[in-house]
Amino acid sequence: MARSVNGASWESFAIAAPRLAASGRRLLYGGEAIASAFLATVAPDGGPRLHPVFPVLAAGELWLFIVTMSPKYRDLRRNGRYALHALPPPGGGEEFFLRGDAVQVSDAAARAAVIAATAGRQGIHDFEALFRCSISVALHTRWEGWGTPAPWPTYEKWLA
Amino acid sequence: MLRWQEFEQSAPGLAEEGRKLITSFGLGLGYLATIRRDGGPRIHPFCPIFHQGGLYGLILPASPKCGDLRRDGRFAIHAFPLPDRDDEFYLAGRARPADKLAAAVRATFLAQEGSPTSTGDEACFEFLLERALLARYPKRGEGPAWPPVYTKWRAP
Repeated sequence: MARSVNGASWESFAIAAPRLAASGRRLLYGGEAIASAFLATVAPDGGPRLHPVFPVLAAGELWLFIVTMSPKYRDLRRNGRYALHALPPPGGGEEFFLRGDAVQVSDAAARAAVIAATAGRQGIHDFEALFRCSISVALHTRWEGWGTPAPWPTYEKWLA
Repeated sequence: MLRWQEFEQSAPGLAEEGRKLITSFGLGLGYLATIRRDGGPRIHPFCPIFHQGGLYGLILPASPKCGDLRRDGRFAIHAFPLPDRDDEFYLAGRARPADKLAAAVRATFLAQEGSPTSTGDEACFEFLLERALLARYPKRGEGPAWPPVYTKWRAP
């Protein structure tokens, strides 16, 4: 069933807000080959659910491989609204947050491109469903004076 | 919905392991998911605080997540990930305002090592627990990465 999707591709976001997107990419990947983040979804009762995930930036989009046996797979199939937060950098002091809609993608060529971008580390099992994540809101927070008694946040925000 | 100490009595081993994961960096660290006014999810890092048998959070009163918790107390908490293994500890339930305890919870928080800071005017919530989940993985590179060994708990 088709349903409306809010938000932009990662590429559109990156063209519109290149510095913010660069910060986001740096924090999502954290200098590693695989990006890490936490994903919030909406459970059937309308409450929140929370999971660690390994997002992939490839072909101008943000992707997630989600195990089909998991509650978050059922959440996203029913209600694609997601919120995603990057892990903190080692010294703290920065945050990166995204919100948007996730839609399952079954296109074989798209899947192959995303698997290739992970160098085959993700997506090689049939039980890993592929979701494309649109971006409605992106927020980067930089904490000045992190670790002092008076840290102060500065925000860079983008809305699709 | 149970207080942390009631959860400890109900599932002592799980509670002990969970507390270790939440405090593995010294200060309690976790992600907090809430529900926005429009029904969508929200997620933020925060500092869970163990205080006199309860699990609390000090939340900036003007923050969106404070509004979420006052309007719809449902929450999910996930401990920060460890550097060398993928163990997970997850809690879900309902938060209740505990502003009368804010000063005492703040004192407990600020007495910890790890440079905790406070604005001095945060709202205070106690997290009452309905479900808990622990996932144990082998140390990275020392065994199959998935599936982990799950231990689940639901409030009786």
